[in-house]
Amino acid sequence: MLRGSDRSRVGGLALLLAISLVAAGPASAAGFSIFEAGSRSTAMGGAFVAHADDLSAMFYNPAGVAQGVKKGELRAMVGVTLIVPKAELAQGYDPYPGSDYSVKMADQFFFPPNFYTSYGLSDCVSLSFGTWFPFGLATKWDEPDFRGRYLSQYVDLKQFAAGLQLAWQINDVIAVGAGPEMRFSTVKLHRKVPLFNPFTNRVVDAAHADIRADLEMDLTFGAGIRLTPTPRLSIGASYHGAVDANFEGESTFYQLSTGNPQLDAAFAAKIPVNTKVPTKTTIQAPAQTQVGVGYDFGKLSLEAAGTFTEWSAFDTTVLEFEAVDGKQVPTSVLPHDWEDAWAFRFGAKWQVSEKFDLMGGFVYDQTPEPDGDVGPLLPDANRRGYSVGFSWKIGQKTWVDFSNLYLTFSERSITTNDDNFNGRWKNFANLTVLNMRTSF
Amino acid sequence: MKTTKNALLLALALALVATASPAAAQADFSKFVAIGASVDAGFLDNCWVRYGQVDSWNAILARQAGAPAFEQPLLDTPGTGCMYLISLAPQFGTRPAQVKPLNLTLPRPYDNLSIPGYTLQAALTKKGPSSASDVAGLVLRTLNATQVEQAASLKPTFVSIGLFGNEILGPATSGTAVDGVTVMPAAMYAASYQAVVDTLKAAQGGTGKGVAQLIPDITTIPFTSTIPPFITSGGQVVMGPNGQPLTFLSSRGGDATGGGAGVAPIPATSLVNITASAFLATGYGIPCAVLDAGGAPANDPRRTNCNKPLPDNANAQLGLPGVVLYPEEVALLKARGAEFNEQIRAIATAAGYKVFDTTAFFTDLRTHGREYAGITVNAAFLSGGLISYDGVHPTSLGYAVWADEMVRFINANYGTTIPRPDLSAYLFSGSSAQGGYPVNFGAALTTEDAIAWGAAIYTPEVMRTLADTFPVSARTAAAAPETEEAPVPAEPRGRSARIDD
Repeated sequence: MLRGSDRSRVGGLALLLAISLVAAGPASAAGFSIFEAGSRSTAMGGAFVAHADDLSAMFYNPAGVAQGVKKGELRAMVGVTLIVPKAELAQGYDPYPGSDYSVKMADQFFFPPNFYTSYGLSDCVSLSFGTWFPFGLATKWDEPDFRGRYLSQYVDLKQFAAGLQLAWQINDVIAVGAGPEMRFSTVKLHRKVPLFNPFTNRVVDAAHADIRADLEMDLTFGAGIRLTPTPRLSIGASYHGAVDANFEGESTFYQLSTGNPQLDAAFAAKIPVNTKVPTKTTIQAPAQTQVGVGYDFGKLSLEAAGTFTEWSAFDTTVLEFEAVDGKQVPTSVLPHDWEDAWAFRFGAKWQVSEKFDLMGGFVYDQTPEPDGDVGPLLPDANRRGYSVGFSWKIGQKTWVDFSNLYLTFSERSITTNDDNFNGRWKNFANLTVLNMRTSF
Repeated sequence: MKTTKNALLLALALALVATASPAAAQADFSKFVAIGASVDAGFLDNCWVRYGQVDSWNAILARQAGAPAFEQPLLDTPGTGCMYLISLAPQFGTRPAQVKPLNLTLPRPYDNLSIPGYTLQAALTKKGPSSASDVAGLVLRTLNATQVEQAASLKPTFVSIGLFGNEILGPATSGTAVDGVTVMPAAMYAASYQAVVDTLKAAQGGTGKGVAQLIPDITTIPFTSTIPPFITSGGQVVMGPNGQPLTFLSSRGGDATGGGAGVAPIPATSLVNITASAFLATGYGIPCAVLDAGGAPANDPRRTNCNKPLPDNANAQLGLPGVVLYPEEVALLKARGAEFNEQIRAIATAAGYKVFDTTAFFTDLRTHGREYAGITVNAAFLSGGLISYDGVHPTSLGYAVWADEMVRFINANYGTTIPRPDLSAYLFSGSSAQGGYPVNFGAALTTEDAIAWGAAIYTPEVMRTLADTFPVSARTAAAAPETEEAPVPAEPRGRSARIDD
C-alpha cells in the first residue's frame, strides 16, 4: 500500500516519465501546435470538428463525444502518432552564417500517444477522460560547429493535456460538451555561450548552457458545440483555452575550455559555471478555435474546417537567471512576435463496406512565425499537408485506424532574421497515426 | 496623327532613358583604386603585415565587388612589429619587426596606395620615403610620384578616398592638442582635401566616382576612452572627502620630464589614454595617500612614483608620450574633427563622391556593436572583438564589418548588387588569411588579475576596473619598453608616435 503522498509522488513521477520518454514532436501543425490527436481525423486532413465521431473529439470538438452514447457503455480509444521531421538550412546568406554554409537538422522521431475513454451516464450524456499532446516542439542541430549554436542547438518543448469533459446531446439538433483541461509542460534548451578570445582574435565556445524546467502544471478548458440541422449536415465549433506556462527550472552552464586558462578563469569569475542556476521563463500556448461543416452523401462524407490559433500570445520568451555566488547570467530575451494564423482543412471519407472506411484529406496551414523569428529554434513555414488513411473493423466492437500525413513546407528565404542568422530553409515532415477503438 | 505618334515615341524613348539612367550610375570596379592612411591599409595591432592587409576593408570590398587584380603592397610576416597579447592584465609583447615585401617589383602603382601614418599633406607632396625606415617607400617605391598622383595615373573607375585623420589623431594619441600647433586649422585641411579630390576627379574624367570617409570621433576610440580619469581601487571608484570621485594627478602643460602648471587632480571630463597604463602601474598620477588608505603594501610598485603627475603632453624630442587630454583639448579635438568632416562632406560631395559617415559608424560600433546569431561584437577594448590591441585600428573582424557596411552603402548609393562578405571566417578564425589570425598564448596571469578582468568581461567598460592596478605591469609596447624581445631597429618610433591612422 502506498500512502497518499507516496502515491502522488509516484503518480507525478510516472507522468513525468511518460512525458519525457515519449516526447512530443516538433510542430506538426504550424507554429508548435500538434493537430494529430487521432488517426481518423488526421486522415481527413484534420477536418473533424463537424463530424467529430470518435473519442478524439475531446480535442476536435468535445460535443462530438455525445454521439451514439449509451448509458453504462464504456468506450476507449488509444493510439500513437509517429512524427518524423526534417529541416535544413539549404543555404546560408552573407554576412552570417555565410553563403557557403548549409546544415541539416539531426534525425529525430517522436511518438506522442493519445488515450481517451468515455462512459455513458445516460443515453445522451457522457463523461470522458482523455490525454493528448496539443503542443510540442523539438529541433536539434548536433554538428559541433553549427553556426547557430549560440541561438539554439536543441530545444524540446512539450505540452501534454489531460481533460475531463461532459458531453450532452440535448436533442437531435444540438450537442454540447465542455470540461477542464490540465496542461503539463516541460521545456529544455541547449545552446553554447560565445566569448571573444582576445588572445586568438576568435569567437570561442565558453560554456554549454543546459536550460530546463520540469513539469509545469496549468489549468484551462475545452468546449464545443455541434449542430445537426439535418441528418446529413453537421456543423461544429470548438475552443481550447490558452495557457501561460510559468516555468521555474534550472540551468547549468558547463564550462568549456577556451584553450586559455586566463580567459577560462575570467569567464568563471563572471558566470556561475558548473552549478545549478535557478531559472524562470514563460511559454505561451495559444488558444485554438475550430469551426467546420460536414455533409454526408450516403457512403461519401465530406468536411471542411478552419482552425484559428491565437499565436499572437507567443510574443516573447524571457529567460531570467538568479544570481549565484554573486554571479549573474544576463537575462536572455527572445522576441517572437508571432501572428494569429488560420489553417484550412478538407477531408473525405468513403465507406467501402460496413467494416472498412477509406479517407483522404488536405490541409493548408499558415505559419504564425514572422521572418524575424525564423531560425534554428524553429524554422517554420506555410505548410500543405496530404493525408490518407483507413478504418478497419477487426472485431465486434473494435476498430483499427491508420493514417499518414505528408507535410510539405514552403521554402522560406529569410534575409531579415532578428538574430542576423539568414538563409533559405527547407522542411518537411511525415506523420503516421495508429489508433484502436473499442467499447465495452 | 503622325505628330501624336512621334510625341508618343519620344515620350517612350525618354522613359527608356530615364529607366536606364540608374544603371549608368552603377559603380564600375574594373579599376578600383584606394588612397588613405593606416586604417585603409589594413593596419592592426600597431603593425603592417600581410595577415592584416589581406583583410583591409578596401581589399575585402575589392573581393566582393569582383575588382580584378587589386594589388596591395603586401608585407610578409612578421611585419613591422606586431603587438600580441601576453596577459589579460593587459600585457602586450611585440614581435620583432622584419620588413619582407612580397610584391615590391609590381611594375605599376598599387591599387591600394594607403600608407600608415599618412596625412593629406604627405599624400600630395611625398614622392618617396623620408627615411630608410619610412614605410611610404614600400608603397611609393621609385615611381617618383605622390600617392595621389600614382592613384590618378591608374585612371581609376572607382576610387576610395580613405580616412585621412592623422591630422587630428596624432594630437589625440599624444595627449597634446594645441590649436595651430599640433592641431591644424580647418581651412588648411580643406585646401589639401580639395587638391586631393581635384586630382582624382580629373583622372576620372571630371566627375568623381567612388566613396570618401569621414573621421571618427577620436575621443571615443578605445585608445582614448578605455581608462577613466578616476582612481579606482578593487574595481570601486575612490571617493574624495567631498564625496566626488578622485581623479588622477597631472600637471597641465607638463611632460614626462616635468614642468607644467603644477601637480593637481585632472578635471573629471579629461581623457586618459591607454599609454597611461604603464605610468599608472608604477604609481604616476596616484596620490600616495590613496595607496595608504587602500592598504597597499610597502612593496606595491605604485609606491615608486606615487604623487608624481601623469605626463600631460608628449615630448617629441625625447620620444616620450603624453597621456592626458584636458577638457579643453577634448573640446578642441571634437570641434576640429567636426569641422574637418564638414569640409570632407562638402568637397567630396561637390566632386561627385559619395561620403560614408564613418563617424556615425564607429560611434554605432561602440554603443551598439553588431550581433551575429548570438555573438555580440563591439568596439570595447580586448573583449569587444572589433578593435585591435593598439586601441585605434580595427581587427580583421572590425575591417570586415566595415567592408560589409561599405558594400551596403555602395549598393544603396550606386544601385549595385555587390554581395555582402561572409563574416564567419573573421569571427571564428580571426582573419581570412591562411590559418587565420596567428595564435599566440601569453604567460600565465595571476588568478586575481584574471578575475578582475573577468568581472567586466561582457561590458564596454571592461577596462575600467583595471585602471588603478595593472599590477603585472604594463603595455610593453608602450612608453616603458621592457619587452622580452629586442626592439627592432627598423621600427624605432615609440608607440604613441606609431599610433597613426
